[in-house]
Amino acid sequence: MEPNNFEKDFRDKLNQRKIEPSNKAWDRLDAMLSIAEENKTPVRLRSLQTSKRKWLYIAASIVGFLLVGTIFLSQKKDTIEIPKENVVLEEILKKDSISKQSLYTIEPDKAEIVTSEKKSNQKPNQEQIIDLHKKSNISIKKEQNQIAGSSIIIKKNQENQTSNNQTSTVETSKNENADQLIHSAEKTVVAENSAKAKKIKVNASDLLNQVDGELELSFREKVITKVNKNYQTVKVAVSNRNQQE
Amino acid sequence: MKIIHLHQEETEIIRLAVEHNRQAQQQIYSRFSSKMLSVCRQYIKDIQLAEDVMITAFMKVFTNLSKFENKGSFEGWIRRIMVNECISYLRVQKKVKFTEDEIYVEESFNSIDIQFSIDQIQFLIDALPDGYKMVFNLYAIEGYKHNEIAKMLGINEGTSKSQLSHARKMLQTQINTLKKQDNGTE
Repeated sequence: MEPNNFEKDFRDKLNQRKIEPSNKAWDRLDAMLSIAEENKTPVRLRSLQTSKRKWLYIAASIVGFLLVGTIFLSQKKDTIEIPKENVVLEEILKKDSISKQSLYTIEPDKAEIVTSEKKSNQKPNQEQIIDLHKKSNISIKKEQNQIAGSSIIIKKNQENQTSNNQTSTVETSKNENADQLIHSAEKTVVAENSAKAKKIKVNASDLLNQVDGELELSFREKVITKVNKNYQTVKVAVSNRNQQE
Repeated sequence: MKIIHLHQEETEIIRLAVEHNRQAQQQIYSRFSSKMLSVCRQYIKDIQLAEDVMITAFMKVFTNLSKFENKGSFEGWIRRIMVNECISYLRVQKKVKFTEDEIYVEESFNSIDIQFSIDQIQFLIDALPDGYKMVFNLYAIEGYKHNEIAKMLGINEGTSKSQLSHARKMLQTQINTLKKQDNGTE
């Protein structure tokens, strides 16, 4: 397909042809170019601004997270601390209530002991009383602090008892030899005082240990009971479902 | 010496135009705009539309000027951009579709000795359908080969050949009528 003669003529003439564009053509192109250049620079600036803003947003979000985290943690700490205080208050209240109760319960025991065993030694009496106290405390069924409270009360009662016993021995000794009785009473008082001092010291550490141990025990018990309850509910639910099926 | 000087001048203008120097850009525009509007006019009948296409093509020239490597002809590079812009205009705006007939007959045309005026040539080309016109312009005027035209227009090489054949046939008949008219007037 060789180009024809007329095609050569066409090419030559068309390539030589020049058509002058309108005067507005350059103005339009100029405007288009300036718009394109304006757009280019703001785009760069915008990209820079947006990148800066991005960093600002990231920094602000990090700071925000930190603030929220610290507030949340501090709130958690507060919430943990409040129950502790409550527990302490409860313990004190319980102690008070128990002491009152135990005081009331102890008094009849003392009377019984005084009337029935006038000649008996104080130590067995004390032991009995302690046992009775424990029993009474158990019967009241108060929580961990019962024994702690009772032990404190026992100490108090011991003092009362010694005075009571002293009076009781004095009363009984009317028929006996006064000197012997006084002597024996003095001995017992001295022995009791020494014993008291010793016992109090021992009891302080024991009490703490007991309380701690019982607190732990109670927590364990609570957990165990909770687990048991949950297990039971699940068991019942499963059995019900099986029955329904 | 003069050619070397001109070349140096051209590269300097291009360098300045790349740096958005408006005077340099205007120099390039004023040097090539009349020729390029002629190229656009080959493809687009409406002179106003042809000018619009030329302006958008010049925008592409200036935005892609940094890609010109000073290896080939600067005019040829601009011309290619113009031609591509015209083709894309015709294909997108006018939605020109090519009938995929690959049957073409190579006809021997009678040698035409008549010299046509430029207006007559443009009239003959304008009378061609857009598909024929594009292939004829690309092949006969721009000097592209059929495989290049096929790539440019996204058609088969055979289609390009058949389109050219149809265009030539149509031109031949038109030339014959012109001849008759001329003979009649004479």
